Amino acid sequence: MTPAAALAFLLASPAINPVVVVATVVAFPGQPMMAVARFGASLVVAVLAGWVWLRFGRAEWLRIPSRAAGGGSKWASFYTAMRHDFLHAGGFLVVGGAAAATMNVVVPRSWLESVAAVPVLSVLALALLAVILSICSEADAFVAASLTAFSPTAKLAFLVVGPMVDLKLIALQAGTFGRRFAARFIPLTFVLAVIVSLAVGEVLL
Amino acid sequence: MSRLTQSMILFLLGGAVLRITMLSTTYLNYVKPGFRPFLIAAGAVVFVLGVIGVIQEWRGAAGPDHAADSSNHHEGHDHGHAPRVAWLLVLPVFAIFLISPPALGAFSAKSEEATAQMPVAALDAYSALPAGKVTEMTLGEFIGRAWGDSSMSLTGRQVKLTGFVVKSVKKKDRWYVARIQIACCAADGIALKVAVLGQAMPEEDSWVEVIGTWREPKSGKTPVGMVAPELDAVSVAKIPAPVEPYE
Repeated sequence: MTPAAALAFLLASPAINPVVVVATVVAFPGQPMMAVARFGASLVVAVLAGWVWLRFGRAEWLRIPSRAAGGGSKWASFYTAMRHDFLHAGGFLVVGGAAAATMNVVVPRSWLESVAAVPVLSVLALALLAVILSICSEADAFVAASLTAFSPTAKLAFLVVGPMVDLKLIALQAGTFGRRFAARFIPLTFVLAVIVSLAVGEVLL
Repeated sequence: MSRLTQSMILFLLGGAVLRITMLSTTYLNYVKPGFRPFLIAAGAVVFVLGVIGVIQEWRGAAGPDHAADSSNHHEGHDHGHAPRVAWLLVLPVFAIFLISPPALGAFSAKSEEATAQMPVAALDAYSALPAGKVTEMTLGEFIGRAWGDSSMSLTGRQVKLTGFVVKSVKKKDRWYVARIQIACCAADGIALKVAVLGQAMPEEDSWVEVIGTWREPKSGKTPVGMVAPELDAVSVAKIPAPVEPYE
C-alpha cells in the first residue's frame, strides 16, 4: 500500500467518524447541514491530500518510523513496541500540548472579533484558531457553536482544519515522520482544508 | 535514555494518573467525570508497563546474561529506540504533584468578553417553571431560556444560579456569575456568564449562589450571544468551591 493511502487515513480518522458527526449535530441544533458539510468537506480534503501526495510526493521526504527490534518472545516484542511507541508519541504530545496551552493564553481573543465580519479573513482567522487551540474533534463543534459572531463557513473551516492540522499534530507528525515531511504535508493540508471549506460552505451553508 | 529510566517514567506517569483519579477528585479539574474509568484503565496499563520494566531490569542486572542484554540495548539506542523527547513526559508528572493546576476560573472567563452562546439544546423545549418557588438551574439552562425560549419561561420566576465571580473588563461596576462549560476536557472550555445586578461584587473567583429573577431586555429580544443575560439579584451567598467545577 502506498503511503498516500495511509496519509488519507491519518487525516480522515479523527474527522470522519460517528462520534464526531453526532457531536456536531448536537452542537448545532436546527442546523443539520453543518454536520453534513463537515463530513463532506473533511472527506474531500483527506482524499485530495492523499492524491496530491501520490502524484507529487517523494519517498525520501517521508521517514517511515523504524520498528523497535523486539528480541525473544511475542510478548517481549509486544511489550517493547508498546513502551517505545508510548514514550515516543507521548513526548511529542507534551511539546504540542505545551505550545497550544501557551498560545491559548498569550494570543488575545479580541483580535478575533475584529475580523469576524470580514468574509474571507474570518475563515482564515478561525482556521488559524483551530490550529492554535488543538481541541479534539469530539469537542470542537461545541466551541465552534459558541463563536456566534462568525459566519457558518468560518465555523466550518474551524471544524475541518482542527482535526487535521493543529499544534499537537504538527509536533507529532514532525517527530514521527521527520521535519521534511511535516514542512510539506502540513501546509498542503491546511491550504486544502481552507479552500474546500470555502467551497462547501458556499454551496451547503 | 536507559531502559530503567524509560520504565521509571512510565511508572511515574501511570502513578500520577492513578493518584488523581482513584485517590482524589483532582481529575475533575481537567476532564468530564465520565472519563474516570478510562483514565484509570489507561493509567493502570502505563503503570503496569513501568513496573514490569523495572522488575525486568532488576532481574536482568542480577542475572548472568546481563552483558549480552546491555550490548543489544546500545544497538537499539542507535536506532533511536530511546527517544530523548520522552523525557518531557516527566513534565505532566511534576505539574500534577508540584503545581497541581487548579480548575479554569475567572482568568479564563475574562479573556472572552463577548459571552459565548450556549447552544440551545432543543429550541423551545423548555418546561414551565413553578411560581412562588426558587428553581435551581445551571447557567447553561438559564442562558438557553433567556435567549432561546419564545414562551419566556423565565419571566417573573426566581432562580438560583451557582458559579464563580468575574469582574467585567469593559463595564465598571458590573460583575458576572460565571461557570466554564466543558464538552470533553478543560481545553474546550467555554465561559458561561450571567450579569448580576443590584448586589455588591464579592471577591473575584470566589464561588457564590445567587438568587434572583431574569431581567427582560428592554429592546425586546437580546441579540443572541452578544451580551450576557441579566439577573436582578435578591441575595448572594458565598459557598465553598464545588467538587465538580465545570458545567
